[in-house]
Amino acid sequence: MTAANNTKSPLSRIKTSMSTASDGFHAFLLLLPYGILFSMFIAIPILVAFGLSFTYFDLVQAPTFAGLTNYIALLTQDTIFFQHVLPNTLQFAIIVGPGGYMIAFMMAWILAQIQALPRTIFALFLYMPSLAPGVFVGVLWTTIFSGNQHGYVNALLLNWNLIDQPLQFLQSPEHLMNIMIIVSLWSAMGIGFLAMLAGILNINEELYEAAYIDGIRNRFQEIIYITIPSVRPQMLFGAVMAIVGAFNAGAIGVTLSGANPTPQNAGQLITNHIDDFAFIRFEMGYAAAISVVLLCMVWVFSKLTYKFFGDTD
Amino acid sequence: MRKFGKLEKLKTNPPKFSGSRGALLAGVWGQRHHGFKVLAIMLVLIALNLVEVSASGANTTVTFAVNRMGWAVRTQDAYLPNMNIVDLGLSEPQSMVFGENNLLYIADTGNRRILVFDTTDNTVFAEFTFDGFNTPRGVFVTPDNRLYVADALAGSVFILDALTGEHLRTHTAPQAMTFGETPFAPNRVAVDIRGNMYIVGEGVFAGIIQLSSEGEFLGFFASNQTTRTFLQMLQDTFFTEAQRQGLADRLPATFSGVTVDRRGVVYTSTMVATPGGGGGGGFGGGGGGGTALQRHNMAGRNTIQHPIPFAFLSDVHVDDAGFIYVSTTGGIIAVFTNDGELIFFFQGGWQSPDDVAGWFQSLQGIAVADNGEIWALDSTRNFLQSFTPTEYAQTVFSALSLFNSGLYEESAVMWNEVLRHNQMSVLAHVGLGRSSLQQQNFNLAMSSFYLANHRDYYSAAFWEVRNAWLMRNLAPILIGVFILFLAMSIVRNFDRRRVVGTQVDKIRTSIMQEKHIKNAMFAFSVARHPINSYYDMKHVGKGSVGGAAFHFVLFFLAYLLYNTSMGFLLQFTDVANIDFTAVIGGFFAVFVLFVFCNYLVTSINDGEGSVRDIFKLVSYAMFPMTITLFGVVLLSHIITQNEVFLLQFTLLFGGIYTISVLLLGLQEIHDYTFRQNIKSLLITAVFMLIGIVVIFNLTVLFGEIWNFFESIIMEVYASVMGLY
Repeated sequence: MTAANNTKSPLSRIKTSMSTASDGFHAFLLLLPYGILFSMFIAIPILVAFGLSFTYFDLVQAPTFAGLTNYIALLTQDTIFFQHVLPNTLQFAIIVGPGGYMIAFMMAWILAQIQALPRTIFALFLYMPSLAPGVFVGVLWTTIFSGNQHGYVNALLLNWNLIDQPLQFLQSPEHLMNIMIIVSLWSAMGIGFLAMLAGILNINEELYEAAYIDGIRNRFQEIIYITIPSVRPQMLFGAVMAIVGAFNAGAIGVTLSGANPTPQNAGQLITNHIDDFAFIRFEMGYAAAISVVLLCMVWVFSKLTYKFFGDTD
Repeated sequence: MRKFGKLEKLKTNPPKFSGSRGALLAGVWGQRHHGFKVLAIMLVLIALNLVEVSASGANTTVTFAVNRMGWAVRTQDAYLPNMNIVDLGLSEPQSMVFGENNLLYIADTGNRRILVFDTTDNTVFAEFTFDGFNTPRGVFVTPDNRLYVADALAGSVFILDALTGEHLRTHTAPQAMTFGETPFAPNRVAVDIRGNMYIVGEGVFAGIIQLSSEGEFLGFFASNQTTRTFLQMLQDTFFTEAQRQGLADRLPATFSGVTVDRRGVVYTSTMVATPGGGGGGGFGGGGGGGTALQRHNMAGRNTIQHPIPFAFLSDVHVDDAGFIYVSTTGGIIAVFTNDGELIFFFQGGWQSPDDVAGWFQSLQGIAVADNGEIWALDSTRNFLQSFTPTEYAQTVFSALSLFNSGLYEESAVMWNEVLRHNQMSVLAHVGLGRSSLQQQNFNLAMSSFYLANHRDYYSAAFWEVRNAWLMRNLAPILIGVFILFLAMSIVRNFDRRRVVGTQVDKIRTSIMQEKHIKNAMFAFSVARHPINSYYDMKHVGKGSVGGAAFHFVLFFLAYLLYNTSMGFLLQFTDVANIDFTAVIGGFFAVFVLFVFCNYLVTSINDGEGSVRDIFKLVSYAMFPMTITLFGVVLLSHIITQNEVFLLQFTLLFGGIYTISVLLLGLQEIHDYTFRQNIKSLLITAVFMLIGIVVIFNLTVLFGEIWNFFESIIMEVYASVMGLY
């Protein structure tokens, strides 16, 4: 309410003021750089995608208006979407989102307990996967889970006589999803982790001392009563980033298996589905429609996240 | 070569025998395989009293099939014993095979000859002898009428003309470097369409010896796996080289039979001590069950996914339609689909001392004629026995064949015919369901798979049905949600002054302020802020015993629903089979025991909570689980196996949440530290165990006392009434 009042009163004052026009012009000028950048890179693309989702567009001919056809097709004919993509995306997001978030918080809290130098080094290592995801996934994990006897996991299992022939980890539908989840959890220490680490480090030490005087007895209570309430904004940020990241992940399955669609659609996430239609089949209109659905999903889930983490009581 | 005259035909003459003699070797266990119950039958000796064969009944064997629970149950006779031929003068015959014109080639090992028996008129067609024959054990006839004879002691595979018996060629041990010093003692031989030989050699553990048509060594084809027991693993880890020398060699089981079907696919049978003992290495690496019967791909890997529930397989045969027949030395003959799914099996008695048609002392080999008759060979008593398929078996076979050739409607007709014979046939229900699935008749498929208890297929059919429903109704639902959303925001917009809103709030608060509702609603705040709420419960007096009891009852209802009313895909026990005394009694026993034991333990460990506090705390803490269970039950009716993970997550999340609330509650109520809390809980658990033992003892004791007084009363009653 107070925010609404504040914006209203200067406006009414401006109207009565002599220099209304020039003030408005200045305000416009000040907003212009942000406005241009925002519309160019965010607002217009979203609107264009939204518009394209109602068309048939193959990148060669001009888009032709198709009404709700794309959405109807998505809901009624796309069995791959309903049978594989949607369950896969949900499963992936439900584990990697909250799971990665919890790991990130735990890591941030643990790092906050040690000295500055090792903390910086460890933080750098933990953040590394987020700096160069493609390289790491391509080199590290495909070597570890390689499908021949030279892959590390296969070599170990063969050595222990647990298997008698190498498992096709990255090509078999049973394993691909689990490996995607493992790799994603491993690289979960992203921007949310840094934010939470900074938040925890910025908590006033006196709060802990005061709490101990008030009867707190252990680290667990420290976390519950001091740390979490103090870093709530950073945690909200981390949660939203985790959810959005989990829904937008997609490169991982394709990088690991080396194919889009992934083997038997086992690791097919919604972004892969969009890629598949947009850049392999060149059905831009349909791909745009899926993107809009993804946007709605992300929106709904971040709303939920706000509900869970944003309340102040 | 001599021609024999027509032999005497011995028609089966079943003796009358009592039920107690019909002790059969058949047993079953169920095991989970890909989340599913897969049958497995084996060596439990069930004294089945069901072999009550009347004098008029013509059958001395019983046929079993798998029922919907994965158990082997008796079913219609699939095969009837027909011919019993004892006077061929056989001596320890080891195997036999059918050639052209219904000629049966028998490896008459003891007599060093191959006997050719004409099954059309039951005469001996010919007798092949050859100087090189020493122990001819394995025979195989190719479509171009070449007879392959595997002779172990002679160390050779002889090739004869199948009609004249003329010796064509002999293959001895290959000279290739890779074959090395491996002994070459062929026991069985099979030949594929290219003329490659697959030889089971005695004492060869590397696998089947594969020779080209020219006799060059192509390599070892397939071998059984050895498994390491836990003890062996420990030995491998801790024993020295010298100690390991002293251990017995771990050699894989060798094959007992090998055959090649019309398409050139190789099948083997193995004598394994226990079903499932022959292989099953590691995770998913080629079938983790019984691998006594294997179908091999080009690389020699086993491609049968179903665990084979039999041990001691002596022979394997594949007919032109692809059905696999196996025999066990004990006298069981089983028929499988080409994918290794058990169709049925039949058997007589277990190594009976008497001569009963269809019973065997040592069933060594089987062969299947073009008309579907199974011929079996007993190597101890040296006789031949044939079995004729009944109409029931033939209907099953034709239904399966029709389905495999894509004639789904015709196959459905046949399956209905099978069901007319046997309403309970799981095979028929599955077959009918699969036909319906192919014909896009998903509702029918669902009901068939439900009857067959086949959850994988049921899930697939249900997915389609649900999808069709969604396609029809998703748009209206979405539009409805959108309109509702719109309406709400319009109301909110018009009601800026909160005229309506305040009224609603007022009504809501007045309801919420009602004592009982407030006490019940306290569970929400417990779930949201356990620490603070339990503090309030202890010090401010929030919540009540009544509210707690309400939540306890609610949780009990949710628990009952979870046990009885899950969707078919997740309700693994039929409601009729649930032991309600155990389910309900167990629930209350655990709850009451926990509350009292926790009180007793904590009251001498500085715990502050009373029985009443602990009851309230536990009941309120169950609220998240109640919600979870209700949600899971609802969800289980609309999900397919595709989305089972949703349900698992819900349960996992609800469980962890509830346990956390419970732990925090105990900590708060007893004013414990985390460590004290865990310690007291461990002691409580031990105490509960002791409690169970004590209660059990008391029950037994009081039962005895009751019996004592009862008998006294009965005695008095009897003497008073003058019953003596």
